[in-house]
Order: sequence, then structure tokens, then C-alpha cells
Amino acid sequence: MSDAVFSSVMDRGAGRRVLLSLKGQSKTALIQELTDLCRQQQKTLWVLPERGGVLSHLKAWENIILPLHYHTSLTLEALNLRLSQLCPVWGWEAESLATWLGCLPVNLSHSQHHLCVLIRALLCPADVVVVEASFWSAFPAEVSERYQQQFLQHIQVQSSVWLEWVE
Amino acid sequence: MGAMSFTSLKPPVSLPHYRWHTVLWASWRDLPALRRPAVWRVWQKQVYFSGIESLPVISLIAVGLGLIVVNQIHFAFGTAIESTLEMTARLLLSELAPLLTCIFMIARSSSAIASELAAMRVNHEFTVLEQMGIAPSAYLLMPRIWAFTFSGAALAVYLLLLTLLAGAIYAVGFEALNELGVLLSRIPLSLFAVFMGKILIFAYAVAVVSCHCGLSVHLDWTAIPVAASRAVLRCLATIFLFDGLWAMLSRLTEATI
Repeated sequence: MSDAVFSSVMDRGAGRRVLLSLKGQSKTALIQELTDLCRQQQKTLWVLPERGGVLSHLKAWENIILPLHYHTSLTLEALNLRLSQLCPVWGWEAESLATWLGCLPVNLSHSQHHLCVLIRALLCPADVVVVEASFWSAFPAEVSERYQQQFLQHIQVQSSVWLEWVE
Repeated sequence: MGAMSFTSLKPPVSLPHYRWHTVLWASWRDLPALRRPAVWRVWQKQVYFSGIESLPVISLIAVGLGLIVVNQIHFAFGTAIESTLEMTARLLLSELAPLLTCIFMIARSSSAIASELAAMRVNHEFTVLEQMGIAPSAYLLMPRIWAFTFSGAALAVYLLLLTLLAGAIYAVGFEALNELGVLLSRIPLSLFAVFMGKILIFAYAVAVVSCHCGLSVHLDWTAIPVAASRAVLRCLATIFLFDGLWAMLSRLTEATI
């Protein structure tokens, strides 16, 4: 994606959804290119990848609050409050979340790992959001569809472009 | 199924290469980022891991060192108590305390920093940070380097005081605190300046070398232990080289004066 194409995508305005069909290495290359372009233009980019996406030396809750903690002056208490406000909206039980939020990513299950990435994306709005279609497959079938729909609504409100891979 | 190409297994995008002077420059350029709570937290955590968690072992080393040095100087060579303690203090301030503290920190924290950074690099976690709009140098390198330097200085002061106290208690018993008070008033301030200068420069250099070793890895899991051992060896070489240069410069300065 060239700089000019990226700029035109960014200029399309809020709520616009862009679907890209990419596979394999072109996908990784595009993410890197988008990362570079976002850095140059001081935009934030969320990638909800099939795997990875978290920092291995930080606990799950530290991973979740990191971008907000870095970019804002919110206290840890305020960040925890924001996190707890998400729970009823998304149907999570605070107690069950608390059981794994203190774990390092290596100790998380596949779905907890993805939930960590999802919550982080929900907490801090981004300019560009990239979702791998296979990201949702980590969740049980009964909630996966609901999560996708809720996330779509959330992203359309908060972000300017939504890029999704359809493989 | 098509033939597998080994080249396809290589990472498609190359990460930026961090040179040692890039790390050095980042540690100063990104210093204002310490005002951010998230970065300040990294600094605090590094001080905890490198400094506070080291206290039990460094205490043991300090007590042992105090006993050994006083034993050698006073009991083996038969010098007076005052001279023994003064020689111990001068030895510690000019050489032993900065050097031993750095060697201890290299063994304990340098390899940990290098392997942690190497693992993050291999995992492409630097890219994750960039995607969040977080500069890896400001979040990962700068706070670690300065926390390591601060911990080094604090541990060296602690080692110095505890070694002197242990040595004094061993030599004179309960009069130790009085002896130490008199001793510290006799030591010239320039020696304290040399001590602080050495430990700050050595610890800073060790931190930069450790970070650089962690960052300059190939994107391969086998590179992580290599980075850790390389960090230890390079840091040791660096501080002995710096100490040698310091000795040469001191001699040259004295000769000139």
C-alpha cells in the first residue's frame, strides 16, 4: 500500500469499512507497511491477529492497559474502572476475568490470549483497525458471532477505517 | 502439495538494525518519556529487579569482602586499625566497589535484559509496540538503561558502606561507628567523585551493551541464549577496558599536573 493510497483510505472518513483479501506473506508485509505509515502519520493501528499481538513479558492486564497508560495520564485505578465498565456490555464476569488477568501471556489459553487483544482494542480507540478473519475462530462458536457484531459496531463508531482480511 | 521453498520460511520484513550508538542516543533522546506513567513503571520495575532484589546477595558479598580485606591488611600485614580502615576505604572507593558491583550486575541483570529484549525481537513484539504508537526505544530501552545505571550507583554505595561497616566491626568491635565517622572525614572528596563517576559510567555502559546485545539478534529462537552469553562477555570486556582507560587517564592527568 503506497503512501498515497493510505492517505486516500484515511481521508474517506469515519465509519468506512474496507475489505482486503490477502494471504500469507503479503499480509505480513502489508501490516508492516501500515505500521510504518501509521508511525509516520502519528496514527494508531490495532491489529487483531491470528496469533501474537501481545508483549510476552507483561501480564495480561498490563498488556490490556498499556496503550492507554502510555498515551494518557490516567491512573491505574481509572484504567481498571474502564475495564470493569466493559464487562457488563460484553457479558464478561469480572471474577472470571480476574483469574487470568494476572497471568503472563504464555500461561493463557488461545481464547484468553485473543480476549486480551480484543479488550485492549476496545479500551483504546485506534485510527486504523486490522482484523484477521481467523481471529474470531479462537472463541467458542456461540460467542464468536456476537463478539464480531459488537466489535463491528464499536469500531465503526470509534475508528476511521476498518480493514478486514477475508481468506 | 507444492514443493516447499525454504526461502518462504524467512521473515518477509526485516526489522530495523539497532547499532550501539543508536541505543546510546536513544537513552538521552527519549529521556522526557520518563514523565509518562507507563514508562516510569518500566523504570521502577527495572530498579526493583536490578536493585532491590539484589540486596540480599550484595549484602552477603559486602560482609564477606569487609572481613577478607581487613583480615588481609590488618591481621596479615599487621598495620594499625586506622590505616587498615583507611586503606580499605580507598581501595573500595577507587576500584573495588564500582568494579565488583558491575560484575555482580552483569552476572545477574545484564543477561536477563539481553535475553528479554532478544525474545521480544524474535517474537516481533517491537512491531506490536509500534502499532500501538509506542516507540520501542522510549518504552523498552531508555527506562531500562537509566534504571540499571541508578541501581548500579545505589548498590555500589550500599556495598561500600556495608563493607566498611563489616570490616570495622571485625577489626574494632563496638567502636566501629566512631571509627567510620573519623575515617569518612579523612577521605578526600575527590575520591568520592571518582567512585561516583566510575560506577555511573560503568553501569551506564553495561546497560547500553546489554540492550544492544539483546537487540542485535537474528530473528531466530536460537539467538536468545547467544544474546545472553554475548551480553555477559561484552559487558565484562567493556568495564575492564573502561577501568584500564580510567587508570591510564588518571596517570596521565597526574603526570601533567
